[in-house]
Amino acid sequence: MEKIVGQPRVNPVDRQAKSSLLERLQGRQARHIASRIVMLVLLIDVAFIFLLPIMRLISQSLMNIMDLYDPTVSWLPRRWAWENYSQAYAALAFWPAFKRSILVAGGAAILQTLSCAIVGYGFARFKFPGRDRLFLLVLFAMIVPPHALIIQNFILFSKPPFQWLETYYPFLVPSAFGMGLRGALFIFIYRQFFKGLPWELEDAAMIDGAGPFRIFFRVMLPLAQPVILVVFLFSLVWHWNDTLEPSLYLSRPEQFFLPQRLSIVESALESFQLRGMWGTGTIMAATLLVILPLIILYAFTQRYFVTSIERTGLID
Amino acid sequence: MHLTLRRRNALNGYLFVAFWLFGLLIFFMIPLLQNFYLSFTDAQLTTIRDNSYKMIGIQNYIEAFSVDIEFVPYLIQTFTNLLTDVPIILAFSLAVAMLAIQNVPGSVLFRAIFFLPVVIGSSVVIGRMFDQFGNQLVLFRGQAAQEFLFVYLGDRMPLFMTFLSRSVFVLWRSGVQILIFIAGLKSIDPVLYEVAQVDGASSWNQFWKITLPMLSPVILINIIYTIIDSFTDYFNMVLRYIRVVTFNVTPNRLGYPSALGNIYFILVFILVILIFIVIGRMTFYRGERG
Repeated sequence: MEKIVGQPRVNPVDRQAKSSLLERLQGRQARHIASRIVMLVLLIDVAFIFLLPIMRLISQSLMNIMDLYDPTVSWLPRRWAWENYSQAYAALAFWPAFKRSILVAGGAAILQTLSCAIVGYGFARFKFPGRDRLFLLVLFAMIVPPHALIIQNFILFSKPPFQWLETYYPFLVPSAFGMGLRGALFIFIYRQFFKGLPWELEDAAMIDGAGPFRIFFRVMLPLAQPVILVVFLFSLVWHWNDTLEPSLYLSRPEQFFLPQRLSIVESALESFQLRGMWGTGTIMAATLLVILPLIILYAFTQRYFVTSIERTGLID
Repeated sequence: MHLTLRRRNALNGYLFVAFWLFGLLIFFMIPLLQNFYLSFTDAQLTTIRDNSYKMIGIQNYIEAFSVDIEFVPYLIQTFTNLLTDVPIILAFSLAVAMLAIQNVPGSVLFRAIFFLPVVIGSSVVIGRMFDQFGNQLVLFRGQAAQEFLFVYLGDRMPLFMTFLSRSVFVLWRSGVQILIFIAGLKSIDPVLYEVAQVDGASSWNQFWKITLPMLSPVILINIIYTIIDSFTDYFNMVLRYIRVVTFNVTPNRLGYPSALGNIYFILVFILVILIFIVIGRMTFYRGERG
């Protein structure tokens, strides 16, 4: 360490190089380019692993039975079986199911995003007796799998004070109270975020005469924008993809959300004795249709999503 | 009303968390306690409606460990999977995150791809995808590639294939972790690195002396997240087994699966608490104030 005190600007890696400045620069540049190429190759590798299942899904969704059984067909079908998609669209009853999914998953996500922010802020920035013990409860709620409570929740929502079976309240109301699907995780994320903000923010606002709720809504929430986006997207995605709770509370197919409709399509194909590969193309197409809205949403938000996550850091 | 600053602070804190506490009580604590109670009974789907079930003490718990030949192996398998998966997922996601924040052409595209599993990876839909393709999901799908592998690996080939399909599966589950790591990496003050460079620290040293300590809260959150994710996962064998016992075995018993669920999450809870205590000591928060 002490060797370079006298020449602080020189990169330590180049210290021993006895070549001229120009050569040294070229060497560094070459090394730079080489490391870039290595990184690029690694990144492409990893990206390939990530994309593989989706590419397979897309390719199989466009195959008919002949292509699926043909060992010489690996990625590109001989005949593009677009009818898979129209079949899947009809079988899913896509449009109404899509609207239901958007309404309930979106509503639950909005409620959860706001309620968890409030609770997370409470845990991060106030000192009150029993706070740490209550926060242990958050962690506890986080690790209890929803499966452990489904029987009790079913009984709870079917009895008089609620009587919410066959309605969408069981998805929305717990979300409004900061519970719901992985609500505790979101509280945890918000708490970690707010905990990392400088205290001067509150001090300054307090001196200006703002109360705690004003500070929260006017100062803290705008600052939390990136986390809000992340939590919202997670919440939406998890509610969208959830099948456990809807399968408990809803029993009529015309109330089902998209992923549940997908199971209907599957069992319908099975009941027609179309085993083996027969229904595969249609099922793949239906699967794609179910996740397509999420992919489109992601395609539009990913720019903000990625940069927003980077700008703040979820946690400090 | 005049309150001391400390009192007012405490009151405001309660105001912020009060409605959550209410929700927790109604939608979580009471069901949980009832579930606990149910695990000491012989309740079934048919007897729960007219309350004609009776207490049988810890019989269910004894059955789980002594009579049931499937539950304990599933439990052990789940925990061993976790022990191998968590370090792999963490190391992989940290590596990918560090790659992704480099300034490489197309880095935005790469980041977008890495987060794709976050959007679709948590779903039952993706479960279907993995169910459908099974081992074929891996790179070596073609006949020729498989024959080639068989010639070279012989008996070990199934093991290798399992490893490969498992690794794709593991990588697919690290989307959120990558995201959180990128967030953490970006939040480290670049001045720290500049100072270290001036002092002549190699990038190796910078990683161990700056990146890792500054990331410690993020590592904690990622470990916890990974554990929870795999414990509440669609593929989790214990949960699958509990589901089967509840819904697919007649008579549909409720008391016994409740007991299984309780054993399971008490173990998880102990594990998470241990991790919090051990790793929590090593983490470093910037904004801490007494």
